[in-house]
Amino acid sequence: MLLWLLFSVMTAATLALILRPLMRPSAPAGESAGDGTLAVYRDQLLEIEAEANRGVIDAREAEATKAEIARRLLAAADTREPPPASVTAPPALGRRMALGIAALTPIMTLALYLAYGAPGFPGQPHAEHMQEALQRDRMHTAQVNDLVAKVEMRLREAPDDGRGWEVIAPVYFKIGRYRDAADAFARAGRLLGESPARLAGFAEATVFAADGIVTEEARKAYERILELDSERIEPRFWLALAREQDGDLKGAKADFEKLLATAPADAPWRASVEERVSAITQRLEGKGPTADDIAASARLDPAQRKAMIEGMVDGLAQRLKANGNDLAGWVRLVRAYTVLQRGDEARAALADARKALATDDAAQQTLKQLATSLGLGS
Amino acid sequence: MITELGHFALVLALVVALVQTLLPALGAHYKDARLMAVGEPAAVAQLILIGLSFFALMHAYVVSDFSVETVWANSHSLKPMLYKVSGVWGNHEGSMLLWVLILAAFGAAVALFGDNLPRGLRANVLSVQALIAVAFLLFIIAASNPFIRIPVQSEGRGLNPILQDPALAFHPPFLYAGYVGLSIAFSFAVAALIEGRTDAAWARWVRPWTLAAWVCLTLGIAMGSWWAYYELGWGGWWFWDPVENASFMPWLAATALLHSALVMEKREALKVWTILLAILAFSLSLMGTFLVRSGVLTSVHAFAVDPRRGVFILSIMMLLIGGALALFAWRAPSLKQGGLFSPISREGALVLNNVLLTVSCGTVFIGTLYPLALDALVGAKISVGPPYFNATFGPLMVPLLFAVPIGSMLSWKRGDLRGVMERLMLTGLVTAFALAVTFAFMHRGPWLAPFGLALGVWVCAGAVSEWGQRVKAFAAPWDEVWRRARGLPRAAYGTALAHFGIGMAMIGIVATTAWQSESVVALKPGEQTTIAGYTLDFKGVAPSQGPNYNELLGLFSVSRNGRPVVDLTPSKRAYVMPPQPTTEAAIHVALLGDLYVVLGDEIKDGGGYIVRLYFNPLVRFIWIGALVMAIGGVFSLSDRRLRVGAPRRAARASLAAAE
Repeated sequence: MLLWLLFSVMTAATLALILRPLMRPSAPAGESAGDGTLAVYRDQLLEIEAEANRGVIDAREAEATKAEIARRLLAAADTREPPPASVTAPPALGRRMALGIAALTPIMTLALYLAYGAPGFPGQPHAEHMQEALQRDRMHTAQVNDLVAKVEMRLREAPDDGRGWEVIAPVYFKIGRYRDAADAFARAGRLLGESPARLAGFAEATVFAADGIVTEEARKAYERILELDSERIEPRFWLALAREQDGDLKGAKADFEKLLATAPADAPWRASVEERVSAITQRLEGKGPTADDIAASARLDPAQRKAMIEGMVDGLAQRLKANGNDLAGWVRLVRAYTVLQRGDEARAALADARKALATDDAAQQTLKQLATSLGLGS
Repeated sequence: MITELGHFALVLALVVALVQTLLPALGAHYKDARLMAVGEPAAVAQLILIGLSFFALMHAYVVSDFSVETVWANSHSLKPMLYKVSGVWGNHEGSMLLWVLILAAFGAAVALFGDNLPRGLRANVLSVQALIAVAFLLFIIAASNPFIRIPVQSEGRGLNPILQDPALAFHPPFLYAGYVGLSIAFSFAVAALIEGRTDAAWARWVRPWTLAAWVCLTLGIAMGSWWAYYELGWGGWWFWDPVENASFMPWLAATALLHSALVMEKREALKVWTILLAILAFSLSLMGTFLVRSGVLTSVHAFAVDPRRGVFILSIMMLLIGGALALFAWRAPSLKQGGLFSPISREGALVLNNVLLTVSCGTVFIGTLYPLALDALVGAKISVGPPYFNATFGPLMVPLLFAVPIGSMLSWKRGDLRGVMERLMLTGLVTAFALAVTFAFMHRGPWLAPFGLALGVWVCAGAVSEWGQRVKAFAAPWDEVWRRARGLPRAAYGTALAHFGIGMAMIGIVATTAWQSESVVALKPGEQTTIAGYTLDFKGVAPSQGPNYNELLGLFSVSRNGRPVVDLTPSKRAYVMPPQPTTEAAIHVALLGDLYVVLGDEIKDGGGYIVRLYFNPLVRFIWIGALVMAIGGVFSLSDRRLRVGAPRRAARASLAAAE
């Protein structure tokens, strides 16, 4: 509204300025154009005299110059047009013309402006824009938290409301409360019955809660999903990732490649699977973690990095407890405990490994060498 | 909202310009004072509205409003404030807006200070001026609108790093003030043709406006040349590049126009010349603006990329240039001839000056447009480079510069060539001495260069000598000389300075072209190289960080004959947004010439760095010369006396009768 007001003021002021001459009482051109010329010559004559008096030019020069000007003056006076037969335009003409212009100007301006302008478009200074974006974010978070609090209250009163858990689970996930999300998905599954979607939600939340480690619980959930619906893709991805995390690089690679073989060419997740395959290939070739992995861990601060590593180690331990038939996994776990200076646990893990692989002679041999090299005795 | 206000003001300015085109011209035709009087407030209103619009755009740049398309495409929130402001005209749309702003400012100046102009003339001038504004405002609004809005973006794309230089704040405004200032001469010429006559007031007005435009154009071009010299890192100051030629052609025409307007004011002669040159000078400005702004230069096919712009450009040029020339062909024969003069006279010399400048402008025109025309017509790519221009433009400058001291000593109406030659004896001797000295030092060639240098000395010495004779230096007692020097009109100082400046520029051009030394070496840290008597120690490189770029500094210590001279740090910059590298040359300025160092690329496997070195002898003379020329122009401009040139020995009645 203010904008339109300002437009009107601007237009009105402009019109008032330019149309004022037309509103004056009519008068023919007071002087013919020739008069201005004569005035210039008259000024020139005066100036020559002034200069001669100041002594800038000498008398002879001044005379000659004056003669020249006089010649031009006479010539100009000769050609001077007769004054115009005073064209007294009717006084109404100016006013009518003014009216016409006053009417046409806003119409033309508006038409042109509306064709190219964007009157409803607010200005967006960079600083303000950033401020608003931040504000929006904060408001959004506050609203969500509000909502979550309300649902939580209801669920405390009626913990058997499966729908309630189902509603809140993805919200927990979105706002980063992964443990709560996993719990909510699990409760929903228990109360409303197991379904691939609930299992997947639970598994994904569990993985996120474990900082990307596919824990034993998650793995079981994914396996269960495949039992219910063998067509699903994402469980296969996560299961392959679990193998990779356990150190079964060859198996993981084979799984990923199988996944790729069945993938449609335009599948959006192709790229991430391919990335995994190439990362594993590099590790198999002994190049270690990719530069990206290192860069990612370098970005964390020391406390975070430690937490991340411990999370990975604990995940591995949990998985081996459930399924001990994994020599490489045990070796990694023992090494990790040693590096983290958790000697007792290293020894315990070594003992568990021996028990789990008791029938495997080659494995026993490897474990013995490992113990010696790490100085874990026995 | 401010942006939209600016947009609205721009559209309103177009409508006002339409009114200003029609009413004053009608008034002048029907001799209606009221209609004519509309021109002045309309011109003022136009300036206010376009000014509002310009500041609205500047506001959008300053606050980085990325919902405005041009701001998003050409700015960045991290850019230093200086470049946010000057970035307004660092792109097509904004620079066109600056163009019309200056146009409106000149129009308003005629309206405000033109009280002593005959009313009909003033009305016609304002009307023509407004017609130009209508064409350009239409072009801006319809085909290069700076206020187009887009969904807001979180960050802009940044300004071309080469443009992120303080020179951007001054070079385009000066250049445009020069281009657009010539529109006044154009409007006056067209108004004179419409009225069918020119008079004393006409010439009295045209000369200072042309002079002001010429001063701005001179400074603008010199600044551009200097900028290219230090920023582009090629060690060159002029490349005969079409963009440069586009600004140089109006300058040549304006220089001719200036001299011719002078004759017209003093002697009422050369009317047809003056009017034609006024039309040509502004036409060339228009062409220059469009050649640079339409993208025709990077590729002729830019017309096809945005056909709307191309069509607009062609129609505006056809309307203004074609219309003016047609009017000229129709009305010029009816202009009354002014004072007569003999071929050997000041007027005659200035006709020679006009002819030579116009022809040299023609050679530049052909060299600039021929490749474009050829490409457009038959698709053949040729490039016309310095060899063409040196072979055509150069030889035309020789007689012109040779004639400068002679012409400015000839008297009006009929001159005495022998007398002038006698008065130039001393100048001739100085020149011969300069020639001999140059040959003695530079005996290894090139052979023509000392003559070129001597020509520059001839022009400079001629300018000094003319002044000396006018104040009777060495011939009169000192207090007499002092009195005369003070009494000498400022316009005379202006002429002497401007001619001295062109001589200086000539000396600089010849010296730096003929005797530039250049060397490209690969240096590892710790190594040395030499050029033109300087020894450079390469100490190594060091990284450094600017507001929106990272740079690698090369550290050099320069010494001469074992004595340290200066430390130079040329650098390679990598700008963040847009990601683009630039080289920043380091220049050591000395009396005899510039030492110019550029840090090049790193050689693989620890081979050091490529370093390019130039020694440009007397290169500063070029820009100092241009500055002196411009100062001369300002001197002349400040002299608001009425000018009447009296024939020197015209006191005899017989001559007066001869007319």
